[in-house]
Amino acid sequence: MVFSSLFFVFFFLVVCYGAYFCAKKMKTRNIILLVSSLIFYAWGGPALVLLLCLMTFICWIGALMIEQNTIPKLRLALCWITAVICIAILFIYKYAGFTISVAYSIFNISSAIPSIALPIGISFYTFQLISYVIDVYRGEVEAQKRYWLLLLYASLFHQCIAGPIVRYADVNEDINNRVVKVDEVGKGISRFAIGLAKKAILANGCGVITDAIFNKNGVMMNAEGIASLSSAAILLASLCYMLQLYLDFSAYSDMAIGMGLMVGFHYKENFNYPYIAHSATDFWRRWHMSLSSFFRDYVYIPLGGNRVSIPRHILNMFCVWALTGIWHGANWNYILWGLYWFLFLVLEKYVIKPKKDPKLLPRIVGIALTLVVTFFSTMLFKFNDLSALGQAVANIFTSNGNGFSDISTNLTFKNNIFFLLAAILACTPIIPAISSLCQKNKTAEKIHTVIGTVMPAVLIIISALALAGDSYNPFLYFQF
Amino acid sequence: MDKFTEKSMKLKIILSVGVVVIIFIIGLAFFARPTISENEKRELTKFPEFTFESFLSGEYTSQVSLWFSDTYPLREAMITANGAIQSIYGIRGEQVIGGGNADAIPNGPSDIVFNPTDDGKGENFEGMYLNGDTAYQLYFFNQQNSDSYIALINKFARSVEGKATVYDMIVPLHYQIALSKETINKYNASDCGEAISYMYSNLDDSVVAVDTLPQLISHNNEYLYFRTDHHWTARGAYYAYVAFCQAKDITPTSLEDYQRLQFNGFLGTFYANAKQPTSMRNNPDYVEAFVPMGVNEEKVYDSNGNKIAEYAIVYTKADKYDAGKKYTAFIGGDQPLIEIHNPKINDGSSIVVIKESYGNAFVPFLVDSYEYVYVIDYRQWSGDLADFVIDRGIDDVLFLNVVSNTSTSARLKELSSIIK
Repeated sequence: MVFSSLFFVFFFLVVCYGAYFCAKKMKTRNIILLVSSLIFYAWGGPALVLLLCLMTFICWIGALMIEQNTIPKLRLALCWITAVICIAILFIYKYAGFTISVAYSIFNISSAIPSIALPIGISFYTFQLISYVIDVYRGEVEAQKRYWLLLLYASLFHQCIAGPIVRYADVNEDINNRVVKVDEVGKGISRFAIGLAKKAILANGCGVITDAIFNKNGVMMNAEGIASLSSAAILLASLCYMLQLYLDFSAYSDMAIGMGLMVGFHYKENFNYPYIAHSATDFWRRWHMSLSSFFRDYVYIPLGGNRVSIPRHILNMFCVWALTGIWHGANWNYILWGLYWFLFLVLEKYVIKPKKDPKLLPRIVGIALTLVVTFFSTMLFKFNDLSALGQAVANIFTSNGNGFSDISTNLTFKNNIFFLLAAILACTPIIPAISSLCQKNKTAEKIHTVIGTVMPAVLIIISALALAGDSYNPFLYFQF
Repeated sequence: MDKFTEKSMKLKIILSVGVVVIIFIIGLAFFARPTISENEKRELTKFPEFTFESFLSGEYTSQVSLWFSDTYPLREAMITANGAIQSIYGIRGEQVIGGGNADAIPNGPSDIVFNPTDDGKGENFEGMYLNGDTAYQLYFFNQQNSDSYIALINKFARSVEGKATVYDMIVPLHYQIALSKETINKYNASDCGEAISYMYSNLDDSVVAVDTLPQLISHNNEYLYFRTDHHWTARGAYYAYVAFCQAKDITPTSLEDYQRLQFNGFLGTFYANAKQPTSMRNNPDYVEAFVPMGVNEEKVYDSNGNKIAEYAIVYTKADKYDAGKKYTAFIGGDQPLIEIHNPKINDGSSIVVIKESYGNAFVPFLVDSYEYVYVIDYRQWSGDLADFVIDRGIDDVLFLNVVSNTSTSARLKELSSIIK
């Protein structure tokens, strides 16, 4: 099930939270959340729930054994075994097909590559479970005695399929002793409504523009098709994809954080306006923060972090960024995407050395340059077909005889100009800045409060209208 | 938190939860869920039947989600409202939706073979240009498919040579008579006139080509094509009928001699494909219809020859139809096979029209020129067309297609299935 569907918002969530608030005991409430989460997860294919339950079971047993053991080496071994099993399962489901296809191409074997269905959210919940096991090993949290409560942590529908990657330590308290506070419910509702609107209106709208340019007959064009596009067409489609990537992903985090707040869960922020970052290093402090902190705490620092020799430090960074790349998907473009960022981060660390908090002018220059770097990184993210990517980048600079722009791109731009401005605005902290300015003046504050009161309801209605059109599919001929 | 903030916080919760719960309750009204969409011209998603396999694969649950939103009771109104919101996304006077690549149109004859492309296109427009309240379907000449079309007509003409006269009518699209050459070129659309001339120049001598373009151009200040639908009007079809009469050397009935009907409030496929723009809704089309004089009844048969219905040739009460359905006032919409007998003519003359939906507005004009008019929709009828013509001793065979269909592989495959 996806958050951005009429069925989720106006059926599943209503029934789930309706039952939740009818129940008074924490145990009943947790059972309701667990059952809903399992139904939510099973919606994409019930068999895959078993995998989620199995992995949780392995980590539950693993963590309990680690806690009960006092021999350091055995504890470490248990921690490794549990983590390796989890990673092996993740590998089989996510990377086996890709690895086999690479092996086949190296050894020149032509045989059918087995296709294994990718269980939704496996990358997210595997990492959550691994972080739990390691935290228990490090003594940072107590092992959860009840299997079903650990399953609730791993499967909770707020964050199970699209993040943020929630650490067990962060919600341990909330699982057993959370309280629903009116102001948190209010904040949660606003956050959820903003996320829903970001996804249903802005991200999906950007996706429509990208697809209209890059797709033909519903699939992404190959290099030959891309070759016929003008520079402006590729720039516009890629810009919309860049907007979509952030708006979509951060919208899921907004909705997760909002739904959590409504019932008393506190998840950490996952994005902090990455498109105003003034350096690559700054970008990664703002983009998918729960993933970067996972790699920092469980890979980078254990490898020695930056308190090592320069070559070793570069190697540590290489490992982290190759892993970050491959975590996003089993394809070369994701690996290259990770390494692309690695290059810029090393460059910044050892050559450019930008300031952590630069003054206005260098900051603006930094933001502009980082946006250019980010723009091409999102193109790497978009194109699974590397020859099509090469063609697209070439066309941007040479236009390949198609002219800088074409009439259809001009019209698309004109037809969506206000929409694009709104999408760009949503990627910046301008609105929050205005809203905090309002706090300084009494009248402005009142107006701000009134807008804040009706805004979630309005956003929910507009999002519902946009979602209703998702299955809109007019036919030329009478089909009935 | 001060009192005002606290109050507004509570009000916010009540408002938002209220909105969600209202939409939830409306969703529960299963009896109010629509099953078809007139606007989109399709059946909406049905609630899936439970099978263990579909449940395990996740197909069942995903169908349930789709059913929930696809048949949501207020869906049509919500889509219309969403269309209004999208109209402020930018400056939307002119829009291009979709697009295609046109081949260059050769001058003069080519080697003609039947070899349609394998792209499976045909369920929707390749491209559409929208300007204010008027949309134009764009046509992109495809040589491989155009040659295949000609190959089919020639093949059929040879199979009935000496037994029936074959006429071919390729109808130009609206933009050809309404937009300037510069505008047409700007959107890479092909020149319909050149494409039709190319195809006609490759027809066998035995095939009579019906050139409708001069008639349509000389009347282009009249209402010949709809603005919100991809069809021509009955008036447009009438001038094509005049061109047909010239080709056949008979006198056309004057338009003034017919009883004229008008059905207001027509919003066709362009309206749906352009996501229901307000500009069109505020200024819908009207359907003009001219009732044939000899008879206004037809018999409808399926492909096996079983009679399935009797309809009016021009349905005089089409104003009762929904806004999206008014073009079905003509010959009862798309039907596999229609037979019309005009009792006022007793010369045994007969014609079969092999058509897609452009033929629907055209057929009523033939009624007063033949004793028997047969109409085959090649997308729905299956059979051997040559046998059909020879067995019934039909005099004239008219192929009627809008020019874009001669470049559409799906149509050619359908047409080839009845030309054996």
